[in-house]
Amino acid sequence: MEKSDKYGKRSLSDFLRYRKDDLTGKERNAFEKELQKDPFAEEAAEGFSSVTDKEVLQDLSSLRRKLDKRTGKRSATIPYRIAAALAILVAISVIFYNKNNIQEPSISKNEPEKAKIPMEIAVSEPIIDKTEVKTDTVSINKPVPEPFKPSVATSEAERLAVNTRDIKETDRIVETNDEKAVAKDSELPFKDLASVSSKSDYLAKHEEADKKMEVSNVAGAAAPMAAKSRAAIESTAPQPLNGIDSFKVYIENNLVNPHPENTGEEVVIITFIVRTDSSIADLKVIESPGQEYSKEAKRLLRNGPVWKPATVNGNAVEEQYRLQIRFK
Amino acid sequence: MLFKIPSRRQSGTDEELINEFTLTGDLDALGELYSGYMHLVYGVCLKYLKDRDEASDAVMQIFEKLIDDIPKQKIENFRSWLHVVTKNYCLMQLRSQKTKNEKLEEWINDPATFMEYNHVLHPIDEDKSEIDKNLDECIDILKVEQKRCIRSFYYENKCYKEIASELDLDENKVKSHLQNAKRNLKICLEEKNGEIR
Repeated sequence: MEKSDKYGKRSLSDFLRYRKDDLTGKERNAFEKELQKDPFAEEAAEGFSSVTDKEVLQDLSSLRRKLDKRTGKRSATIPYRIAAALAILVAISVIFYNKNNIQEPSISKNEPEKAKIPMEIAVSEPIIDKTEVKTDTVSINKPVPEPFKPSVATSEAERLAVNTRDIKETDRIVETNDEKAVAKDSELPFKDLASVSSKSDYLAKHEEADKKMEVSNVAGAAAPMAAKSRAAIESTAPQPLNGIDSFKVYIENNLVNPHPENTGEEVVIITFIVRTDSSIADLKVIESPGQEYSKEAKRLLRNGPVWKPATVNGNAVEEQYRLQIRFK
Repeated sequence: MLFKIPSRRQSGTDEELINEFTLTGDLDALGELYSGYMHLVYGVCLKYLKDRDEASDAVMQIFEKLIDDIPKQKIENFRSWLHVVTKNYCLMQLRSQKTKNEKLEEWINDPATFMEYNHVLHPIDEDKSEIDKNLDECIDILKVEQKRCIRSFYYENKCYKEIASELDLDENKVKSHLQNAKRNLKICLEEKNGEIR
């Protein structure tokens, strides 16, 4: 009975989309036929009809949390040694974090809002994980083009930049940051620290610019260890309801290449904001080879799975997301 | 990978996850399995319990039930098995609430209401490119409205809504025509195949 695999699990977004009425008669019929085959999904659809999308999403995300809590309880049989190591890591990071905060005033006295900034960096950290997906079909959070030209790098700055680079991939933003940083904080004992504070320095200076975007890019280049250890604030990035993997599968299955005759690969990058009620707003095409491609990318996103908002300490927050779609 | 939730495994098939859970008792595997169906379970619970909080509680209770039940049973098709478990749980729930509505009581106490775990596709739902001759004949002898619903839905690929407006019927009426038609078709087909049970 491989039936269940054949018919898929009937994702929640399918139900929500079906209700929304923006499907053609044929599409509706296709979904209804699936329901006819699948009494489980049919009953579920009947159940969903009594509540709003928002309520469904709310309940399911709280259920997911409960489930994680439930399964996490027993699977928390991590050996004590590892647990202890983690605790130490956290402790060290807290110390670093505080140190960083204390040092900051001496770095840039005339910036009143800097205290907030380290927070924001921490908030956007989980985005780092996304960079790992970069080479896949759907890749997210590619660095935005550098907003200003780096000045001539001092040798010290280069050294720092190399350091950052071998930790992970390097955004040009960070290199510039480091150059700027060196001018001021070259005596700082921890390079990692230096780059963090310089980032905040940088951010403070470019507040008018789209801060969120820059923050996530800066974070994208930070070292993964540093990210893990500064775990004081727990946050997640926006993500498709069933995770990015199933989103990729969705894109693969539904992407219609407007010019299939082109053998080369085309890339469309769009950004959008995932609101706390899971709605998508402010859709912008950042990079696209042409209208048809942009249209298709937007269509995919609009018809795609529902997005879960980003969270900070379990609370949903609005956050911008950068999505890259490849047309092969 | 880290992206979803730390320490999440790569998703395996239902069977793999069930096996893993049965062998190791790893709740994470069961959680992974369950989370793929949670919205369905929740939807079905909503249908029967008609209350969001109760439905949410039921979803977690059913998970607890799975922890006990899965290792004891040989499950071929987790999806339909879970459907049965869910539905029966809700019915038990309703029964224990001792509803005042006698009709409902009657219905709940009818042994036929409780589902059995044997999921077989209706012949008309099987994806066949060729229309079975028997099936065609059976459709022909259906009542007019049932016939029209079946034809529109399965052969002209129209959705409930379209059929409803064409036949000037309620959408639910269309659904019940389809359901009744399918039941009649099944009986008809079994007779034709000499499998009267």
